[in-house]
Amino acid sequence: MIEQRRNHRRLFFRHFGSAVGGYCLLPGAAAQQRSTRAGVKNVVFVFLSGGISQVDTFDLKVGPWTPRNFDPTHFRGIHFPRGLLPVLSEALDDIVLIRSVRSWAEEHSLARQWLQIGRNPATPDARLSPHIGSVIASELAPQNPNAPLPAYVCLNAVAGSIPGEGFLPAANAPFLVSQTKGDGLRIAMHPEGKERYSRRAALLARLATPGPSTPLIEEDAVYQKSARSLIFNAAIDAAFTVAPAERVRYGDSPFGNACAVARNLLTRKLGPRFIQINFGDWDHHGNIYAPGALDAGNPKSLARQLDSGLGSLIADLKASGALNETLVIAIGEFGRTAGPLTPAQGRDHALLQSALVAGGGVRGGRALGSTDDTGARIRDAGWRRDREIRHEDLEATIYWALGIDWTKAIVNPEMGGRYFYVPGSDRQEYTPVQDLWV
Amino acid sequence: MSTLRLAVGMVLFALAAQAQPGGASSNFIDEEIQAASKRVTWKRVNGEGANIKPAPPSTDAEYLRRVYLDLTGRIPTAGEVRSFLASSSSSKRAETVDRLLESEWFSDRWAQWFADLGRVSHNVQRGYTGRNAFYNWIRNAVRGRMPLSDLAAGMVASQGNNYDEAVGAVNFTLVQIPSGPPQDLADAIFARTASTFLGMGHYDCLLCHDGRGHMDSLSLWGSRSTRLDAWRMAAFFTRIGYQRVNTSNSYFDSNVVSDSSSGEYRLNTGYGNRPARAPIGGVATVQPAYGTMRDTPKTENWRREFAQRMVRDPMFARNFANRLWLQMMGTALVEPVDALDPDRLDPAKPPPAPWELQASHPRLLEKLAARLVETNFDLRGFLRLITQSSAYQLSSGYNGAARSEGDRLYVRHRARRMEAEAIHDAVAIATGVLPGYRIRTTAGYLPERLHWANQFPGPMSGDEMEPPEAEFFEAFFPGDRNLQPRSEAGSTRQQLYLMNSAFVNSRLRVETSPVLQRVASLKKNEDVAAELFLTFLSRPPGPLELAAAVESLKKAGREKRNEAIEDLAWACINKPEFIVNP
Repeated sequence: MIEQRRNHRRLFFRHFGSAVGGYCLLPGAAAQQRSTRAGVKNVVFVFLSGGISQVDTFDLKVGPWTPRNFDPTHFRGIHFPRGLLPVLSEALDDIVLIRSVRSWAEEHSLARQWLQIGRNPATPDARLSPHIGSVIASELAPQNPNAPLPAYVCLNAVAGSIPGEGFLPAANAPFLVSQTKGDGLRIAMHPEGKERYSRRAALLARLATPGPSTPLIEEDAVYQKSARSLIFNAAIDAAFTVAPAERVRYGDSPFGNACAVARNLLTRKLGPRFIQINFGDWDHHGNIYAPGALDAGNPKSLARQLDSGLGSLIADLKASGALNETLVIAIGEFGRTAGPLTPAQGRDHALLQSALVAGGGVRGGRALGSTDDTGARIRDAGWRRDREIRHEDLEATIYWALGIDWTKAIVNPEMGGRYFYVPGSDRQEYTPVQDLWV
Repeated sequence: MSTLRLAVGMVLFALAAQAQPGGASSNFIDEEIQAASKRVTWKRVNGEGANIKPAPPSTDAEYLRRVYLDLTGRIPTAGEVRSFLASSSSSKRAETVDRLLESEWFSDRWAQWFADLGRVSHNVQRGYTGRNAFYNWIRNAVRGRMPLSDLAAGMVASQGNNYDEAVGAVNFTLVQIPSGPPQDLADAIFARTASTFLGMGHYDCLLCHDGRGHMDSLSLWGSRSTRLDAWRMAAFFTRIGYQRVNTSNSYFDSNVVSDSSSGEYRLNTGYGNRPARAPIGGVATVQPAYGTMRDTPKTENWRREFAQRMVRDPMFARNFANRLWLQMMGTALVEPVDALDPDRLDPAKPPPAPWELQASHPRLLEKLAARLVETNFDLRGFLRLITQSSAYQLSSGYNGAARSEGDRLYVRHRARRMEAEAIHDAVAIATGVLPGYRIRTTAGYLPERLHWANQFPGPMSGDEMEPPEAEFFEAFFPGDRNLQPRSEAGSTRQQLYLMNSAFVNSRLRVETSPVLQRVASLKKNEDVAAELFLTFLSRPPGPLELAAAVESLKKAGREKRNEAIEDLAWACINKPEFIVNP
């Protein structure tokens, strides 16, 4: 479907001033809905695309199928595969493993979208819903007004595969960086080199056409200016450069590189407030313990890549004092079947899933919620609502932690109705999982 | 004071309308637009005494690039621009339109438009071969001048194997939805049909609940309609069935789509994608009944019965008129295009206050719809009609006084960023360096490679389009015809790719680009500059641009001349207007 009208509306709102102008802000119970947690400034959202197997990782259930080298270990009541995730096991004091999350859909495309926009994408109301990161970008002032990068950055995403800013202004669109190789921000480097780029840029400036313009040309001039500020920008280049030793420590993988880059972007305050890192494919319908997948013995396996990258990120943020102000969440679109493997030696889709949360001042060193011995059913939801935790609750949690009024509703110009940051917040249908901090 | 400005504004507008080279006759489009403009009181905007001054008519260069992109999805070559500008024929615009409407490129571009509409893409049910069959069916239909009513009916009511190009339209009904009861499938296909071909996306809402209490401020028709009304329409799709083919031949994994001669839409579901369906007032089974007249099918082929009524429904013509108008003019008469409200479109039957007629130009929409019906839904004729209007031929340039509400009054043409396919192809055309993409089938790949994005059968998979081409392409938001819509938004990333991508820069080499080679053979620097501007920007350089370009070529000297030409080409691509349809 061609959504060309969207830009027309965006122009309309832009002409009337700020990103907020033109929207009707409908009052939520604002004051008490803002977080009393001071200091959470940023979010790192690790999207485990494909659906990571929770019974092999964050909600370990040992059975005859469990490889020996997983080294199942008890850490203060947390059963954890120390062999598969050794670095993360050292960071468990800072980690909460949420084991009572239930996805809404077992189909990849639907569930992925649901998780990232925080509502059912198949309903007409969800038309052009923004990514959670875009809502955050629209709400938070930039940390540094001269920062070269926008508030919402997505690393290692396949362009077009993640929801964008939806009906929100274009400034809240994700800045997508494909494969981080750790050798700078490639697209910000001119292939013919610095000197020729300078010559070309100077020529372009001399060719600028005076006279009548269109709003479109003016818009793109702004984008071009922003692009030029990134090109051969030393601070950006350094942030996207991961030295060899560090690359190895982070797991020597695109995911690891992205984690190191995320750390740099946040600690050097280069603009981003919400960094998404896409990492997959965890859709192990077959051969789940094969060398490339969940193999403790292979440092290059997907699981060990996750461990080295995410574990190092958490450790480094902690060491630099930034962990308390950075909420880290790692989650897939759904979980996988528990118990024995399928005939294909894998695990299929399941709604029940786990999430890993760290930073942002959460009280770590525990699991929140629990499942029964099989891992297929929730035994204890683990929080004040006493029901399974939904993606919408996690969405509310993120907004709340950042000090955003999660009960807010704005006008959705596409549907003419209200867009609730968290669906049903007027009925308290979903709420922040404040228990993470208690 | 403001009345004077109004008068002046209208005079300017009238002059603009008359000063068309090529003698574009003022047709009913212009009459309706001017009538609507006269009724508007120019308001002061932002405290400035800014009136909305109509734009002047488009220059020949502006017009040519626009009409090439609108009708064929590609920019004209330098030669085409040159001969058009040089021609003094008063009918050159009309002749150009006629030529473009008959071209193969026209079929490419409009096959893509209908493929967007029909959501031609790979999914688990269609496979790549099904996607290709769907696309090829559409392209053949456009090329063969199939009336749009037949094209729509084909998508809604076809039967057969989804790999067969002859019935490729059958893939429209292979919509992938999460599992649920059979009624959910009927609902899903109907909702998509209603949105796509009637512009009535609100049926999707009604399939969950009555309009009252939900749509009271959205749609007059919707607020009066019930879930039962929606079920009566969805019921037409109850009997569709799919049979997967497992024979190990070229049909492996295809689906045969057929309709059984029995089956009812029962109100007996308690799970799935929609709220529970329970009997209402003793009615436990819903018989198919079309529209407010509750017209029931006469034969057992319910989908065909639906299609026959659908194409005669006034909403059908209005929907296509509105969508085609949007594509050519940049602003629809009713927005959003899939939220048409049948009770607010007929100017002879205006809705009760506080409701207003929905279209910005209600009579115009009715006349456009009527023209479609009269001409048996002939696509080319309809597009030709639009290009003939003065409104279409206005310039998009403004001098700062225009405001966005001017868009809805069509006081200037709305410039837009080109679609991803057109931008990709513009880089290829302008440099003469063509990419070659392998196209997937379910079992492997097609033997021939594809060079033009305007011929893509659907969103390209990672096997078909790799980085760096894919990253450049995706930066311009082509959408995936599923959950990610197409977008004309700009971004910083787009600018980075235009400046630094391998896709662009690898093509800016005199040694390997046929176009740049030809340019380099031109002796005079003025000719080099002119040729580059005509090639990339479809216009000659202005005097300041020419001076700057010539100076840079002169400075380079003989040894670095090729490099300077490449630099100039790069600069042309990075002028903001390169990606604009003016």
